[in-house]
Amino acid sequence: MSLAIRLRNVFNTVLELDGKTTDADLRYQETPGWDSLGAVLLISAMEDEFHVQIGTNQALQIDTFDAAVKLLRGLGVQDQTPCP
Amino acid sequence: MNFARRTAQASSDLLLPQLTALMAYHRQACPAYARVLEATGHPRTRRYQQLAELPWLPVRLFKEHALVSTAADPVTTLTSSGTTGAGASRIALDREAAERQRHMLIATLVNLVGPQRLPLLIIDAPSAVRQQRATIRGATVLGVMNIGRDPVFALDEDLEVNAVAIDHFLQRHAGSDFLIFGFTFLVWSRFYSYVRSRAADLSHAVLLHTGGWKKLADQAVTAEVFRGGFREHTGLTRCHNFYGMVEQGGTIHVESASGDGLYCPDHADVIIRDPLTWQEAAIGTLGVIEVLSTTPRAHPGHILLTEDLGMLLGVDDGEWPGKRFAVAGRLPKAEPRGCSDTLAQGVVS
Repeated sequence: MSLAIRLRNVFNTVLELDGKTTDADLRYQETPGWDSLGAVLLISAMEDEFHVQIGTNQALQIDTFDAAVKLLRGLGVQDQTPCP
Repeated sequence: MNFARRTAQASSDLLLPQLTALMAYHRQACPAYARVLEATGHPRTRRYQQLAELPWLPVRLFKEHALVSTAADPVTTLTSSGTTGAGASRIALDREAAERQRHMLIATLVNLVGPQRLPLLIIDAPSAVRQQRATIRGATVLGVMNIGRDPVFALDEDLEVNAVAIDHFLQRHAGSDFLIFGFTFLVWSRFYSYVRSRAADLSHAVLLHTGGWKKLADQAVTAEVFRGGFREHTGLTRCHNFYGMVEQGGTIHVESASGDGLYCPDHADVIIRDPLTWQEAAIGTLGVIEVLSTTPRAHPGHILLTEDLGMLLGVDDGEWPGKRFAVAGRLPKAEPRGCSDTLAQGVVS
């Protein structure tokens, strides 16, 4: 499964999104649920899903879905290739 | 960590132009504040050489008046956690101001504990963040959660110890660094008794705590007893009290690990004033605490005379550079309104 799909699933679960919002429209303080508490919960859920550790300052930079994708790639997370 | 990095003079030199500019901003943005300045001898043309010359507002004003410096829709109104509501300050925050406060608080805490998010044990009930977010109590817990990972709440909704949660947390993180955060009264009355009875090892913990000492002082628990108890019975040596208020959210003054006083963060300062002359009080002399911070944008809370008594303990002579000070309690006529005072009354009565 691609990183973006797995990440979107995390967003959908934590922020209780309906799936209609596009990835590009997800923004901190604009998307319902993605407030300061949502942000804290989202970072924890991302760490659990991708088995990474996100630093305090890195967490502060996640203000769009795309920023979260870039951070995870920077931490070495890759798209999963399906098993043959 | 070297939390405070500047000498008192360097800090003052840096803050004077920033606070003067912020005064001009609020003068423009808040007509009521502009009128106060005009009426108290601070016209637009006046120039300032020292922080102590800058005009302060008494915090009480924010209980009695809505002073707002933003035209944007407020995203939230933060209140001090007074139970009656009558004595509570109500601080309007727009989105930008709320974010600025959050960033300042986080930057201050990162300076203290480092950039890694450590496992976090919160000495409070889960509802503190879910239901009390518009109070300084909830906002503070939520703010600290930004620097922690895998948060666990140590108390249940009745503010009683959740032994299973605490034991599980301590087992899981034994041998590595972790954070503990809570309001001073709850940390002592709930958590300390429990970990002491269990002879828990907290030698890897960093304890952050905040809130008034009134209830503890009534039980003869001083800062020394608090620190000494944890050190002796749990091995906890990294213990940091911090001091802040809803009228200056995002700004906290942090106690050094050795306990030699509270220190100001990079973006803030403190002045102790003699209540008779309003001049700066000498080191070691009790006075009223004035707090200065470059953080407030949506309300003119950048220079405030608090209702707290305090004392300057020293300047550039302690564990960290800069001023170090102590809070000695509330002014005699001031109403109790801080987080732990309120919690204490709610819990004990």
